[in-house]
Amino acid sequence: MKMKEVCNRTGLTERTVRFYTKENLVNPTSTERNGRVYLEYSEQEVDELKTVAELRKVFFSIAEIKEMKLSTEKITEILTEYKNKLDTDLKVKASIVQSLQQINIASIHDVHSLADSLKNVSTNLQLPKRDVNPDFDKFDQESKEDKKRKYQLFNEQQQESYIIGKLIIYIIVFLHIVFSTIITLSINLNLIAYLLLIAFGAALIVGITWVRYLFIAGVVINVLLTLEVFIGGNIWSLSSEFKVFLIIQIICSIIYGILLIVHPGIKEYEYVQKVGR
Amino acid sequence: MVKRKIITFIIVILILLEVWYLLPKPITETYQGGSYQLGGNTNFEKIIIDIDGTFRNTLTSDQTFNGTITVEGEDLPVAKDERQLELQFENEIEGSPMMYFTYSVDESGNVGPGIYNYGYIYINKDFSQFTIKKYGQKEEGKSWSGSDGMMITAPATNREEAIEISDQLIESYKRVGDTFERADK
Repeated sequence: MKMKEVCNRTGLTERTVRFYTKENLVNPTSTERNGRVYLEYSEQEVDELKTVAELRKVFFSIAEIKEMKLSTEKITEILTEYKNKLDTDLKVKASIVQSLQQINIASIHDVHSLADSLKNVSTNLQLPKRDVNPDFDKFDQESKEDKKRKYQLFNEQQQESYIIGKLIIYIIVFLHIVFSTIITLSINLNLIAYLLLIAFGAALIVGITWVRYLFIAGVVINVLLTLEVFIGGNIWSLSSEFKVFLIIQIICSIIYGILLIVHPGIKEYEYVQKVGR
Repeated sequence: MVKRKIITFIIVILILLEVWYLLPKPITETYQGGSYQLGGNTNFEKIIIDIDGTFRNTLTSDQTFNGTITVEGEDLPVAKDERQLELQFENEIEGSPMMYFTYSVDESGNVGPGIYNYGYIYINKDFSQFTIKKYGQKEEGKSWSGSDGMMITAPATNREEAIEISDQLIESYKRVGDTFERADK
């Protein structure tokens, strides 16, 4: 299932789901299309996300959850440590509250005076683990130039893909108009139907997605109708020129039908037409 | 974005127009017309013709009429419930035969299908004018001739007007005075 449904089912935000995924607490199937990564979550992963969220609410750390997931034998050990930690935290927090109650808030003017007032508690405590050993984001290890270069390369690939997609779309629309005109003249198709076919061509150029699907459906119908003409015996009533035209038209239709389904450039072109660059 | 909206709007309008164009339209009209014979005759009998049915356009610009065409006072040898006509006006073919599909009982009492050929009808685009080449009964079968055939035309108040409408509607024949000859002669 897609991210939106996962969020609805778990009650988590997209950022939280992405964070848990990045931390390898869940492992959804990922596919890459047009340079974008799409994640697909299973029912089991939704359950895993709910479990992780429940444990996080009661202050288990990401590392602890990971460890318990990896090795169930460690659960007892981690739970004992977790209980001790909570006991210690409770005591520390109680002494902080007690110190805070003794402080005259009016005498605190800055962070230095606050630190001095709490010194009797803080002296016996250690720095938090993440301050001692901070986990910097892995991208921060890349230099600014590296990131810029990667981004530029990605943009160039997308631009190339867009140009190829645009070229294919224009060729498809050109062929579509030529075939529509020949068919209109051959079978006397009414003018409104002809204008509709031209409008569909224009819609494909401006990147209207449902028209692309309509074209694909049109190709399937076209193939079936042509097969009906050839197999059904009606072929003998057609002129040899029209038979050749039908064969060319059906081959082109199949090719552009396949391109409309699978070519990443067409999807990129459609995306740019929709949202701009 | 604006372009996408405009094209979507145009497509919706064209689809609605196409649906309207293809939908069958009822036609119930009474025409004042005339029945007359070609050739040296000067006769013109004023008649009333009732048309009741539906008229439909097709994707390939052909037209179809389903219904009845009744000449008031005419004694048609077809049972009343068999007078439904289906006329096909195709682009490639001018006009349409007027055939009634009937059932008859032969001497042995067997019921069998039959066809009664009334004539051949020509119409204009909106069915506001029509002319019928009405077949006459000859020994060898039903036939019509441009030199002395029977015609029914509407709307027309006199013979000259009726022949003029027929001349406009029937392109495969050319008018020669008071008769019609095949245009390819």
